[in-house]
Amino acid sequence: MTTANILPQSASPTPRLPLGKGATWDGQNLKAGFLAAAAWLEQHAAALNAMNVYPVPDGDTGTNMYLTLQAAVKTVADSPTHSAAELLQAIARGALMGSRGNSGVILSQVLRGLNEGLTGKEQVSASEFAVAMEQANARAYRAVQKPVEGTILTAMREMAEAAQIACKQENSFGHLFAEVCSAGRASVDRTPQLLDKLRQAGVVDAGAEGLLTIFEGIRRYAVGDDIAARPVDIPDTMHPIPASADAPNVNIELGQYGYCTNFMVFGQDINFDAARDKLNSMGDSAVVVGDDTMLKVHIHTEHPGQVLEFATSLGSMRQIKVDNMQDQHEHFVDSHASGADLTAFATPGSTGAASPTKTFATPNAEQQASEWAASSAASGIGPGVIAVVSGSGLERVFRSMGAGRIVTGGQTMNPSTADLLDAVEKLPNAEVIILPNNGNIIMAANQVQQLTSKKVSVVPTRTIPQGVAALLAINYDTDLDSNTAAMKRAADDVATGEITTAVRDTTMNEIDVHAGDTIGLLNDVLIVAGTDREQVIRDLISKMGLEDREVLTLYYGKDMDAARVRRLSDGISVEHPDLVVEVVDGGQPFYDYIISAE
Amino acid sequence: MDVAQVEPNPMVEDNSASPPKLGKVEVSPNAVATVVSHAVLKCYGVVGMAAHHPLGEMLRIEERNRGVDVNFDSNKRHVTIDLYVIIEYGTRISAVANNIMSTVKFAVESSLGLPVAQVNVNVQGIRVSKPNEL
Repeated sequence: MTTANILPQSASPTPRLPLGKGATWDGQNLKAGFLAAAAWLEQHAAALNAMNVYPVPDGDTGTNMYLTLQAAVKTVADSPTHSAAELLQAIARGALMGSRGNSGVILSQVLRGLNEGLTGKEQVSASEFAVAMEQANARAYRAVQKPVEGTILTAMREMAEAAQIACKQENSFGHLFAEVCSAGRASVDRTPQLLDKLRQAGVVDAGAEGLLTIFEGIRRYAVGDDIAARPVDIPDTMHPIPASADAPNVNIELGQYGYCTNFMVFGQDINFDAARDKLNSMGDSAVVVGDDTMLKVHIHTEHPGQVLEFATSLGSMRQIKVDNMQDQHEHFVDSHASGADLTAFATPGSTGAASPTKTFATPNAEQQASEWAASSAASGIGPGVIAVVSGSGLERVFRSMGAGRIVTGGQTMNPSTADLLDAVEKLPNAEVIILPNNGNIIMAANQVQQLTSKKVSVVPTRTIPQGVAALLAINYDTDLDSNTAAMKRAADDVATGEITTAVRDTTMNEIDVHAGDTIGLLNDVLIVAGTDREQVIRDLISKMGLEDREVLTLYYGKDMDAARVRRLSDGISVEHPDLVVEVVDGGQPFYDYIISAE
Repeated sequence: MDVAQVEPNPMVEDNSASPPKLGKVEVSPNAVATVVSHAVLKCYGVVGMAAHHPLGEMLRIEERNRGVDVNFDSNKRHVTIDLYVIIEYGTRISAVANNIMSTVKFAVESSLGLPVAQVNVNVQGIRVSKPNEL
């Protein structure tokens, strides 16, 4: 996929995009404005996800808005048109086709209204754009029977009102968007007063904040402020890798389809590196794992024939599966992509787009290898185990201990009952144990029991350490009920500490917390908070009742640096000489450390 | 009338100490339909509900919960909801329909504690509004 040619800063043949300081904007100015908006929104998507509580607290507003806007700008990325109307028409159409989630659908209507308001215009002035914003506002309100105030709709209305006033004061884009954004800020900050659910959660509306973020991106373009130069495309690393050949459809490219091609090749003395490089050059999202006798290949390509032809030169092929992704797209994009993309946004920018295939080849090779091991071990005898986990390291931990399937999820990204049901059905076992590993997922897991013919039991683990302890207690020679009881007992015996960062001010259990503070939770209850992270960690550990414990395990998160973790664990060992301290690279998002004491 | 027994409440994920049981809670399909109806009309992209039964329209029955069908499964443990909606032209129908499903499921499960097995969205009409009508 071409990430480079839609970057203003790239050395592609497309000329540099024009500055936005002129009195009128043409199609290219608008294009640059929306590219800036998409880049700006991308950087804030994770934050928006974190504040999403209305209408359904599923933590995907930022992702949905970004994917919608990204689908829109992608259609014009290579467009040379100077007509403002033509450009906006393409953007509106792209947003419509790519709209995702509630906020995405509303955004598509806003863009549609802008398009309608500027029909036939080659160039637009700030005051014409302001009029089009009024049209966008009308469009947005038109498509819902009972508009809810305190949402993105309110922000759109108040920003459109501010636009009308601003363009009468001074007909320039800089002034227009400055006024729009300042009114937008005030409007977003008022949303908790209008919507009880927001006030109770102590957040502003995520959709409203997202819309403001988009206009802020355009404002930055208009006045020439810096937006961090980052690709607006989604690097391929952000897409989930199909767990096995029977589930290729989870891996979906947006906008560009082709054929999802999977196969295995068995041969002798295969030059693995050369074969992988060759396959990488033949398509997108290539995952090639294996060794010099066997390759497992997943690739998206327009020319599956050529790929298969090349593969036959390496050896004999098995399990060939070619799917048309256009067909899959409609079906699967909504059901599968949201959870996966959340994982993606948890690492904004940390996986550069420079060599996407290489950055993920290694961990996924391991992941797939252990998946094979796990699936061959779990050949349907005894109970199969499904664990809800996020973070590559934690996935490895659970797989290595025999979890048959991993459902990605956890804090702010709860998998649905359907995701869990799907995993249950895919396991070969007639009896299945689910480890939700999060209090918010237990309910969804319980519902699976009623929806499947398999015998399913849920061990209500609320934390990762509880899940690990439960999994260790499993006995493949006994029945489901005794296993469940034993696993629950094991889970209850573990003390779980979690270290994370507060995303907003609050007071809990008589502890004052400020946004940005490090907070420590013991068994899901907030017990310490402070600005000094090391101190918070020490306080938390001291409250974990270590005198009765033998092993302390530190699962460190994806943003942690190994040297620092080592210093911390050495410090703990010195303070608690009787304790065995283990350090595991958990790779989990949100939690700097998950600490288990058993 | 067919009613659902809300017990055990799946919103209370307490497996150890359940509160003492004093009686039972029953929820009628009409009550569920009212909750659903409110949730659906706030869903973005939905501009109305459609009566799906010709007699319903003629006899003016089910006026309040028009376009909502609520069915409990045989053991009354969970609920299936069929919706008949009118959607605004120019929105992505699949996205709107998926929003409706998750919103309705969330509304019913959080306010009534009834597990929702299915939300089926039937798009009965599309409303087209021209820019100059706005």
